[in-house]
Amino acid sequence: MIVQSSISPRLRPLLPPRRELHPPTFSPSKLTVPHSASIVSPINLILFSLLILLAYFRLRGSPTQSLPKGPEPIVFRTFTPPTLKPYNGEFNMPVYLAVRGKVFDVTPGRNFYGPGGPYENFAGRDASRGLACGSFDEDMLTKDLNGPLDNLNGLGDAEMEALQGWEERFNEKYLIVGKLVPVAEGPKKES
Amino acid sequence: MAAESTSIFQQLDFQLEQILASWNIYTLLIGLILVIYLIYPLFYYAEPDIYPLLLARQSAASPVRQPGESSSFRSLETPHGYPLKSGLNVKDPGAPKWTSGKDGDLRDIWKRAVSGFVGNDDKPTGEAGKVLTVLGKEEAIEYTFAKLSAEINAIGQHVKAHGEGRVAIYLPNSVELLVSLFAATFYGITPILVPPEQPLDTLAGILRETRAEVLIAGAGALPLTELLQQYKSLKQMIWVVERTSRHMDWNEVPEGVGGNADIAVWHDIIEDKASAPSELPTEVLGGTVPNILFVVEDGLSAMDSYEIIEFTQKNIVAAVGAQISVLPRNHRLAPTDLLTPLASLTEMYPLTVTLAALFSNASLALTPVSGPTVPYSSAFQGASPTIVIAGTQTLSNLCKHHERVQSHKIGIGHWWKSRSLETGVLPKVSGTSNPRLIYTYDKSNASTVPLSPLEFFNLKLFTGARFVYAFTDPRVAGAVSQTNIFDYSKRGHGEDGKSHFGPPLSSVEIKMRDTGESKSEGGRSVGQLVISGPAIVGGQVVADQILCMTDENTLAYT
Repeated sequence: MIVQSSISPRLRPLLPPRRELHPPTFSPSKLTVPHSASIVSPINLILFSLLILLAYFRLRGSPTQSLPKGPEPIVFRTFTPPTLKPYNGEFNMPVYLAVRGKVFDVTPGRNFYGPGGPYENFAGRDASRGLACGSFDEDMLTKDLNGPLDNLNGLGDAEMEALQGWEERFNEKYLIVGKLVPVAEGPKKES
Repeated sequence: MAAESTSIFQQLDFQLEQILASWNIYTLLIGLILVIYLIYPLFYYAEPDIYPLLLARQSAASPVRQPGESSSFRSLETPHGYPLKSGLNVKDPGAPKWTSGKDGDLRDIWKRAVSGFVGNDDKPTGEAGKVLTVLGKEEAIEYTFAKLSAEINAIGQHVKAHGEGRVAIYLPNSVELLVSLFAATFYGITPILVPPEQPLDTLAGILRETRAEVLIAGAGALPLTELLQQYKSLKQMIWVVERTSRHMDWNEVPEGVGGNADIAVWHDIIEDKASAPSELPTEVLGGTVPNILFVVEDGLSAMDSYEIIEFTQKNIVAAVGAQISVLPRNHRLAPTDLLTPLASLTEMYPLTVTLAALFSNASLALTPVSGPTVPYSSAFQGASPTIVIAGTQTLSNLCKHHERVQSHKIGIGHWWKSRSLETGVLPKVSGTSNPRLIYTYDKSNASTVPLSPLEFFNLKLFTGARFVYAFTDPRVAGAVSQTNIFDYSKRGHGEDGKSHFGPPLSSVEIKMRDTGESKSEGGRSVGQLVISGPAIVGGQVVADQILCMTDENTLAYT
């Protein structure tokens, strides 16, 4: 039990430690190690274990860097108007629309084509006539989903040109994820 | 506050003071070592050779896939929506810089080799390579491209004068092989590349199936009388005679041989037409540039069975163009490189890489010691190549040799270099004449020795070179895919921990077709390999193997 002097605790760290019996061995003549300055004093052990720990972390090697996997590729599908209709952005479904038989994934343009957007009537439907005429009215879309596709009769050259322009824009901007066929030619449901 | 027992903080403070007070010389030593250990990397940090995340996604997958197939994968140089690389992009010397060049054919490769290096700004600098034939340690004969052009003219005119249209080339790696190949291309004769050292029956069968009319072979490599008995429609025989045997008369035909083959000798043809111009014909006599026939070993059928595959010039230049652009810009084939093929140039992949080197004005050192099982050291006798093309058997033997011979030295040095390689820095290896790049390849449908990932890793430590491991298919010109030269990982893929073959080249597009057992689902692409693009004979081919794509979008066996 070491008895501390009457020096107050605050001043204690400023004084040299009183238990130090040997001066620091700086003098070159004292190359022999005094028996109490051993290598296994606590501070040495702490520093040594710190060194070993750092060496371990550096030499263990880091795992190879990897990127998180991207989204899975979308399977190209043959759609019929009834099967395309659910893809209008509601209930977290992606937004698809069809132009001249090609189904485009317009989910990146959800603000326009998704629910609440200005073009929301096109989502999940065949938008060819609407794009050609530049109108979002309900009567641009085919009413009977089980009938044949809109064959775009009654459209003039200007409208066909507009449709061509729209189709090129869609080709450049969005992915083609399927093709649209009428119900009569569509894939038979597997029982 | 002054209780009899001091508070817990005072006790801790006291203990801490005791610990810190017990410092001595050893404390100072350990502290110094610690400080040096922390500060050392600030001064000696080596950056990895490539940014690591670039190796995490090495090819581009298409976002849409057809049912029954996986998504298609392409090189990052030619993403989806852009055309695949189809040729050499050869521009006329005076054309403006932004014109897109033509695809070209093998004649453009020779013309570029003759005319010299053309830099990025389309200004020719005149640096040209040369071709060496290395005959053992003492002798290396150097040829200039002007002299070789004269030889091409001589051989081409000789064969054409006799009216033949199909020439079979049955030579080891040598200048004569290159001259014959280019003479055939310039003069409209169809070359047939036959791998050397075939049994006589196989050779006769090959000649019969390809309807060869001329045979160019090394003198003494085959018994002519027996061959003429088996294949009677050979019209001409050209012997390539070594210097040491030129005193013998090779022109005479033994009695009773049968057939009416003319016999000629290579050096006589060259000397007869010694005054031939070295200007190469600009138009191919006889119409179009010929297709090139390769004879490939069909390893999955019976022994000694082979297949004849005809490649068009467009297939081959697409592959050569892809080989040139797949290397990073600072490590491309350059006029300062010397290439030694240790694999026979009658195989598709070594020939493609050699043509890429010729187009890049590198020099070639050809040694007749070539084939699947030659020792690695035979590339370094008489020349110091910077680029080597070797078969996997050669490299596997090298690996085993190193492990056997140097096993007592493998210790801390090897471990330290392995660590350096794992962090992405290639360690330097002792020795002055080490190559910088080694090409090796795996042939699907044939019996090649695979290199395990650990062997592939250790080879970089033993040779100090970067490696390219390519996957080739018989019907694809060049390679289907090849590893990035900075990809030093030693992870295995699949059940057996096999090597991967890197991303596809820019001349091909690959996808996997579902088979009964292997289907591409859940983001994983596995199945029968379907390869399409301008480098494929017929546009598309389905390989017999089941392969998969790894997480880094590289090709690997399952």
